[in-house]
Amino acid sequence: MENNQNEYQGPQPEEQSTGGGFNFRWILYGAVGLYFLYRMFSGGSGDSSNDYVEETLVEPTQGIICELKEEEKDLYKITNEELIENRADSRIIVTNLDSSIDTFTIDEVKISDASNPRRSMMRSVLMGGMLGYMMGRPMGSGLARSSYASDNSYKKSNTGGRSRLNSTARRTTVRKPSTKTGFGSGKSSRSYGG
Amino acid sequence: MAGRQIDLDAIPSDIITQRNYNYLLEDEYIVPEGIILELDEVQQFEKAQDEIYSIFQSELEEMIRNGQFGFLDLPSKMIDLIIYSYQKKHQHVVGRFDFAGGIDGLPIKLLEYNADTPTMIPESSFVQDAFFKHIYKKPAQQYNSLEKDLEVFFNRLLISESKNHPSLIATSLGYPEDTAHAKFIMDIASKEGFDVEYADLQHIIFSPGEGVYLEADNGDYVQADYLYKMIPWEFICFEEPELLDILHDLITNDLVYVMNPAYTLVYQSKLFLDHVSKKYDRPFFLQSSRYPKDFMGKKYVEKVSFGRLGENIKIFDESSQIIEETDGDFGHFDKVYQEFTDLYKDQFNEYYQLGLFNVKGIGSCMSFRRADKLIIDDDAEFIPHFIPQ
Repeated sequence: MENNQNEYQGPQPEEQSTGGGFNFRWILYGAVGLYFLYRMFSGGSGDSSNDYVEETLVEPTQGIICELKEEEKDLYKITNEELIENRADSRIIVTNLDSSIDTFTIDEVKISDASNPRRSMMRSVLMGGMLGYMMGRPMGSGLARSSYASDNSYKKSNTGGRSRLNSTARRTTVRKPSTKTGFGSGKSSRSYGG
Repeated sequence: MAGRQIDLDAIPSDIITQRNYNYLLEDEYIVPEGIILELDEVQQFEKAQDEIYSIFQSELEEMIRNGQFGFLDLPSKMIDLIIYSYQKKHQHVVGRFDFAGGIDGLPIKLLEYNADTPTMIPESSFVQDAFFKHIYKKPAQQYNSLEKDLEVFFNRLLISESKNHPSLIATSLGYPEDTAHAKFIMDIASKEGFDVEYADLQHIIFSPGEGVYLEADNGDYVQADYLYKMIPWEFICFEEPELLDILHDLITNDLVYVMNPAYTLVYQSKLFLDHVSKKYDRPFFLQSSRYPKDFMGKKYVEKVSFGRLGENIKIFDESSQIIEETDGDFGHFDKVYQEFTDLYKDQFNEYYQLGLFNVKGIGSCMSFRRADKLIIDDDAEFIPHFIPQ
């Protein structure tokens, strides 16, 4: 008996399943995921009701003048980092192979531009230095020796520079909703259908 | 018409096995038998279902207008969700009315509405269809478009809720039959273009203010915009109130779309059925009361507001003596009393109870459960129907 009262429009081609894959749009990767998992299972340092977890955000207030040198074609290294008072005055000064000099702001370097691979290469080097803390890298993470041109430039930033940047950083404690899991555990011995 | 029971040559065990629903082959639940219905009987059942669903909707709308939810004994956050999900037109995927009578002149009577987490879906859809196409093989019809109607449902949902990403987690508490039902719905959603995954409830991550997540095998966290649950709303209300709080936050902030929606808990409640039965004078509603004294000198049945699978039911005779009863896990819920009504009884003194499924409130499929006793519970057999031409 045909009792269907709807007109079937068929599957939408552009939305076809890819064979049971779970390609949801929101994906949290790597360190963020591990941090999330840690907070979830550790219960964080939240209040007694466990509805929230507290998280301390550390954010630099000082700025940096970062000097980069192009040692080989498209190979950049940090030669010096100097702390300055204002974050907004931060600059990246690049000495190119032909001895020409370019100066960029942090925002200019952060822009992804497929037509400008040079900027992308500079960005990856800068992320390993102190400037990386202003581009989103957690301040608890260390500096990358490979980003620096020499042991001296690395040590200078990794000891005195990093310490001073950390001591003047702004610390904000935020409350975030905690995640919950484990509901209904141990209840699989009977059907709950009707 | 003579007895309606018919013998069949076989059961479609190959198809059941191929589709991986082997639990249906246990305990002689599927038997090589069927029941014959007449076309006008089917039409009367369908007419009753349409009218009852319409009454349920009208009454819920009136309750929302007047804020009359007190008699349901539900937490305030659940009531918020009932109102929100109804006003936001969250779609009712599938429910199942259980009817007595309707055959050989017996009056059609509504026993209950499994609006929230109905079972019997795989056997009523593809197993019954296989009985019809591969075993019965006579000129006949069958009232069964359940699988196709569910496909249409998810196809339409994809279109009507285009702001959501079509990602769905199906969940249950892990009992094999419930898991199979959740996966049945999930597979249909997948066919219609949803990204899907199954997880027992305990493995789902609920994040207030953010959404519902699963941890994938590769360690990523993936969010789903839809949740299909084979977990009753009343379980969430009374067994996991913290989950109710979180779902209240997520649903009312449109961070997850839960099916079946919260308002189906109202339809599921026998307190609501009691309320509607008193208010609407229709032949398919049984006389109902909160007090057994209203049935002095009559046979009547005691049920609980949120009972399942025929549990916690008592049948009393005219002298208020128990003639049949079942125990169960739901005795703590409020009691509701209904007048006794006759189930159809075949030539071998077996009793039949009709399940009439609806998708988005529209009749979609009929099937029967059968037992040699008055209370049709988890020990019943599944019986397909046929409508000879």
